[in-house]
Amino acid sequence: MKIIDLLDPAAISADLQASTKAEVLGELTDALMRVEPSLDRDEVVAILQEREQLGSTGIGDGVAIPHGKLRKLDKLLISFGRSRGGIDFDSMDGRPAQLFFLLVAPEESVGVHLKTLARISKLLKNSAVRQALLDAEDAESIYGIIARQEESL
Amino acid sequence: MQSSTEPPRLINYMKILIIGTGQVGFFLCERLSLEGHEVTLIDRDGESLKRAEDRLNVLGIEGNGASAEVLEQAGIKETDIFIAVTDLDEVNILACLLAREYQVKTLVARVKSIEFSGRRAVLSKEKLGIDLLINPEDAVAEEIIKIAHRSGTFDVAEFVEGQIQFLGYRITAENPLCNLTLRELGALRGIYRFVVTAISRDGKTIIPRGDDVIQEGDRIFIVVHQNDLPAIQYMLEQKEEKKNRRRRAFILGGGHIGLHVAAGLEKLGFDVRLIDRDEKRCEKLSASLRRTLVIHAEGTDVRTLCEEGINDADFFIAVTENDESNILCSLLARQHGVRRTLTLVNQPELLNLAPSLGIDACVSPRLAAASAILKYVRRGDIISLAAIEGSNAEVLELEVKADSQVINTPLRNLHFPAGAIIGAIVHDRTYEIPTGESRLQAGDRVVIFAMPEALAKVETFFARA
Repeated sequence: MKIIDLLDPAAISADLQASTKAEVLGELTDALMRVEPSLDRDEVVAILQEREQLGSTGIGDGVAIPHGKLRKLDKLLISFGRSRGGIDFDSMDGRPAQLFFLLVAPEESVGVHLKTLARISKLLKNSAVRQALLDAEDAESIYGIIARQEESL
Repeated sequence: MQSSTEPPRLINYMKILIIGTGQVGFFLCERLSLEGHEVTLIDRDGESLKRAEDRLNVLGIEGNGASAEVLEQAGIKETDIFIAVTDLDEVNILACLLAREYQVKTLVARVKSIEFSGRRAVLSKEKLGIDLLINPEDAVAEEIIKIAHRSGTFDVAEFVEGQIQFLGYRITAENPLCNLTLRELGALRGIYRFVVTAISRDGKTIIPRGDDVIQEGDRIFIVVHQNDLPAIQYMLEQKEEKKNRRRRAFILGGGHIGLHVAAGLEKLGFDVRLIDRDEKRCEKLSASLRRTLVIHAEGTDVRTLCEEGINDADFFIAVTENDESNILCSLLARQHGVRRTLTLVNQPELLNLAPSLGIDACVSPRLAAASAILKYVRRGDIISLAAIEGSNAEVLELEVKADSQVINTPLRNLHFPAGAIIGAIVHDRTYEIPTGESRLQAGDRVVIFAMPEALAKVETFFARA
């Protein structure tokens, strides 16, 4: 499953306002809810925080991929967020995170979830892609960059 | 019998004397002689001795292992390691006491019925001057507790003081790792840090590469740091496993092993139900276990098992003295909805058969005791070692010595032996999953998965410059 088929342009926040880890999880959930309004915001944030407690999903190089499993969900949901100022996300390299992918997966299809996680990690390993996402003007051009770069994965 | 092709000589070549050609003795002989050590075997029974001599590269001496004359004949004066594993506790201990008089450095004895640990023990290894006293039943009980504790795994070993864990997982169609390539797992390493060191499929064990796919029915062996384990368990946890619920375990067989396992699982907070067919024994068990529910029934008594909640249980652990009933009752429990079955199997022939029947993990007192002994006697650069059930492969921990030839060169420029893979490198305070860029430093501890033929090459790899 491609990232671009799962990511709705409406779930991209080009300018996150959050300044803490807790806030950014909420803001990314809000982005998700623009596409899937039926979600329970508190529940989503709680499962994300629960997962973070087991180990940060901040993978370094300014990237974080918070994710979690949710019951009664019919498909994998993704949102994207960019923070201009950077947010401390307890990342392994100690650097603040600027690029965020949020994934919420149905409990019974964690396999697809992992494949998508792997694709996102691979995409963001490329420093040119990270720079392009940081430089992009708005949500629309972020979506365009992801679509183009995923082609060459 | 001396074979024409000498096995590769080890850096830490040792002379080893083993008393007793039972299952443990035979297993140890096989491993240690394969690794190039000089192994001498003593047994009173000429026939089983001959069988061992024919199949293994060892020297056999017929006689009583607790006789000084026989020991001298077997070269006790030059022996580095003395292992007494006959069926008789008294012989093993006496043989070790004799060997002590000959200044043998390392003494190991198998002891089945003499109490030597715990509060009531009158004897201890310190008092006897024996380095390792091993009780196969205790060793296997400990192994069962470990496996139950790490849910979803069937094989567990710890390295670098527990920091590095070696775990085996059975892959079902629902497992999140099913159909993932090794390359995809590599991409996930920023979030889920672990290494798949080996895959067992259709009776073969391979060290996988990037394009290999994890498939349904595989058994995979991973190396992971304990700090990363909670996140990995969260990911691997399947839907039906509800959190915040006490895990329930049924134990069939209230013998020594059953009692030991029940007590261990009680401590870990399990809801334990112990089944035994003997009423008197049940009464005794009730008295010595505080929180375990003791049930007087047959293991095949499906109605009772269902009434006691087998369908909602996490584990069925069959540890009676009879292999066949252990296997059958495990299959029966499985059919009635228990999530995982852990089965005690003594006969080596059945040990290989059981996984194909759908039993999640088979444990054997023989293997448990033998790996504990192997782990102990392996000296020199190898710190720790675990034998992998049914594959002959081993996982070992080495410390990189200051004069090792591998220091400071990126791994990609070194020729790491085929048939082996580094799972983790632990530096003083940090650890890393090795890449081509990794450099080893003096004092680093390295955890390696190795096929038997690669073991000696791995040791040579880390040798002095």
